Amino acid sequence: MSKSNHVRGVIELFCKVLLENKVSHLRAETLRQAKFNNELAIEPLWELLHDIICYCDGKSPNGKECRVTFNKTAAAVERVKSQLQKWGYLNPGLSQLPVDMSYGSRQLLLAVGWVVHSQKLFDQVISKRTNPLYQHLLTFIETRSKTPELEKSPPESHRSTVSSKEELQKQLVLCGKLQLSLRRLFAVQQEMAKITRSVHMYTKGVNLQPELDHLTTLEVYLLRHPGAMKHMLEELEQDNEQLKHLLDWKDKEHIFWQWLDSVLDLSIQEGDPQQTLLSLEEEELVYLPVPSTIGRDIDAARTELREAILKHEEDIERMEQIVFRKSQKVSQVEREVTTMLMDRDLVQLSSRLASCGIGPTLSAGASTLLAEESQQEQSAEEEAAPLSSSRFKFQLQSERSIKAGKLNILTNAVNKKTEALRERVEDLEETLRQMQLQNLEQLQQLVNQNTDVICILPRHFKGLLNT
Amino acid sequence: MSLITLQLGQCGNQVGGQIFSTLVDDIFAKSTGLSNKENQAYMQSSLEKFFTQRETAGRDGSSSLPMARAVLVDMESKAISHTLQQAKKSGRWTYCAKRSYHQKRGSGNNWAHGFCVHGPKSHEDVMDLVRKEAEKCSRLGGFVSLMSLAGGTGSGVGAYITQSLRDEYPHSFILNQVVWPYTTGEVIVQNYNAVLTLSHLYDTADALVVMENDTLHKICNQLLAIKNISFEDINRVIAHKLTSVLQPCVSDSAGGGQMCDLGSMLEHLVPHPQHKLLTIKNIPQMSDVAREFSFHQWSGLIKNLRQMLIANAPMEEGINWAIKPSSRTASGHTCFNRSLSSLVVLRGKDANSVDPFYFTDSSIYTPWMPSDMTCCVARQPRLFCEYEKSAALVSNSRASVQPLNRIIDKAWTMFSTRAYVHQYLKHGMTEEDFLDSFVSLEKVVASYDNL
Repeated sequence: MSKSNHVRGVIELFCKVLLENKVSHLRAETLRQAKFNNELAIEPLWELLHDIICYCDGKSPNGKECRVTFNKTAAAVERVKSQLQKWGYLNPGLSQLPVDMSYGSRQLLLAVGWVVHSQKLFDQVISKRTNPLYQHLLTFIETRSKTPELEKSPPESHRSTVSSKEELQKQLVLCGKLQLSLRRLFAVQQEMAKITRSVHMYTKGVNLQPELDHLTTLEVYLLRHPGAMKHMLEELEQDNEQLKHLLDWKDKEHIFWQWLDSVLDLSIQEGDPQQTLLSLEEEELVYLPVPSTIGRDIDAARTELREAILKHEEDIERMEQIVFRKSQKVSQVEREVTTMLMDRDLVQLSSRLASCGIGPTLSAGASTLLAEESQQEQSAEEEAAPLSSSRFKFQLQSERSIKAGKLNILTNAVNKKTEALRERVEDLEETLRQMQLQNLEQLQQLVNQNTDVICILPRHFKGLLNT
Repeated sequence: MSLITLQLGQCGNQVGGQIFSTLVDDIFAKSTGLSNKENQAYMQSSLEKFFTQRETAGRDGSSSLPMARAVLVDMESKAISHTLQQAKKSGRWTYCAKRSYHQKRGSGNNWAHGFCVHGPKSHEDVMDLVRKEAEKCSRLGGFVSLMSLAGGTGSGVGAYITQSLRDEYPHSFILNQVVWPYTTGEVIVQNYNAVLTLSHLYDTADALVVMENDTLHKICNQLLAIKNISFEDINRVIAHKLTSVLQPCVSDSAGGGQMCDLGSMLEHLVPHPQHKLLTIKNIPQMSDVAREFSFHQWSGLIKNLRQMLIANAPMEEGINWAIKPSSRTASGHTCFNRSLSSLVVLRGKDANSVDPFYFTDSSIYTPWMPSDMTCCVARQPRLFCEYEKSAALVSNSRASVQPLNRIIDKAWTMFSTRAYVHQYLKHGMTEEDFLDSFVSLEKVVASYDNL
């Protein structure tokens, strides 16, 4: 078999697997056409992308849970583009494709390849497969008998003369009907549970599935209806075949990717005439959900930032002048107020910068640091250093050195205080001793005067007296 | 699906016995018009609905008889024992004697005695019986309570039991069949009892099927040609009406092929919380002798039935054909009997091919009702009670407003002089209870008048 035959087989397998797992309908021919940028392939490929997106979102377009079909409108195309960009496919080649689906099948093919790979489509397909033996009895009977779906009559045309009172009555009726329907549903569900239980009870001890101790309702149904058994056999065979296709795909997947690689090469070699034409317009198409006013917002933010910087520069100049003039006479209050003002501006500006993604973040804590910084200078040196230099220092100092400085000041202060306290204690002790002596002398005199009293002094008092 | 029947009071027990025997008559009827297999399915479905059957026969063979899914409640033992005996005597079906509750002393036609004294006292025992019966159903389709409006036990205890049922089974369907007393009246306080019962049932039951004694009497007299009409005859008519609706049939709506169970009937008939009064009209009704010699066309039956609905005639004889949906009174009001919704049950030969276009006409219904919700048709090709063709119409219409108004007026006249009120007050009721009942019924009348 030649190489091209190999490739054709694998592409056909790709389409077959997608079809069997209800992802999408696709002809193998379409993919081949897409390689050579054929216009016929455009629409089916958009549809394929749409179907894959639906499938990956948990809503199979052909399954019951979702009936969103590709309706070939510009909105649908844009939805596909937006979803692809959300997943991270930022190739401008795709986003620049026109919404009227007039060209670009090769770009689409590349996008399909990227999505299949990046979303692990085949892993999802495998994980979503279920064993036909585990399906619910009702789904089995439904697929078998193909009961006609209820006809949906279009909602009654609204009568123009309906008054609000009548409308209210109508709503009441509908509401009541809904309530009664729910009650019926509840009763049926209870019956279902009861019957299922009785089936399980009567088949206790017999099992086909090793983890159960009874037959499931589906198994009982199959045992009672030989025709259904045949149908189930067919279903199982079909399932087997589909699984085999998936296995084949895993084996031959590399051929598909090699082929896609050749498509990419071709695309790079040839370039895309329309694409270059479009890129002249330098229009970057973004389909991610962005607010429509983003351009104006950015401009506004930019001018605001510029104004703020200018205003801030003025402030700095003014403050420097003030500092120079006042030099040592800067009062504590003034100093704090200016620090706070400047700090607020700093924080605001830095947060603005941060929101633009530039510059470090500065928290409100900067103010305290700044305050301490200036206090330190005041207490330690009592010199009127220009504020600008102090600011400069603050910017350079590392956190550790700031901490060390703080600690130094603290220990100095503590030492001074202890010294003073110690002196005070010594003074007090001295006065105490003298007072004690005086009192003792007085006592001694009193004792001497009155002979009736016998005074026995504590021993250490005697020692004191003697000294 | 199974229905549990509650027979409340003397009237309820008598009607209940008659209903079950009519059911059995129909189930084991000789001429069915169906193949054996189809007939078996019908019988099985009906037996499953109203009776329990033991799988193995007892030693004496009696236990293989179908046993009614019924709970019998009365404050006197007389009616219950009579009903039990009647059932036993028929030899075709029985009651479960354990499912009956009775006391020594009745309620003496005093609603308050039933509702305030006997009701709370018997509540637990009766609910126990109901629970036992409900546990036997694989699917509880709902409750059918049979009672009269006039008496003490049926109405008083009945209203209380219905309330308890709603509390205990909030998701099940409750249909109350109420027998309206004669206008001339056997009981002096029947209007009080009726007002109190109706107002209480209106809050709890899903639907009230109204059976007027006067109308039933006329049917017995004119159609069935009975000379000395007894309550038994009247009960037979009630049973005929109810069973003609409740026996298995297949509904046309929602894709077709669906069994028309009590739930779907009520869902269709009483979706509006303020409109719960149902009337049943049957055609044809005749004595057994006349039945053999009569022949009917479906088109004629349906046409008659429709005019019965519009003119609010209880029977096919003496219908006023002048009344039309388009006709107006001098003041510009419509004078026909306007409905909210209706259910047509067709039974008998060729029932599946009848086109009930007479009832899909939206002009006989209230304008705000969505047109696809007004009429529902259910069919059953099996003959019903050996009638070759028969049609029953359940309608939620103004028909019951007139008798209701009459009762309210009479009760109000009595209440304004406080006649007999002390008899009620001594059992713990207050005058406000009376007033509340009057108000809620006036509301019902008003909402029906606005149809």
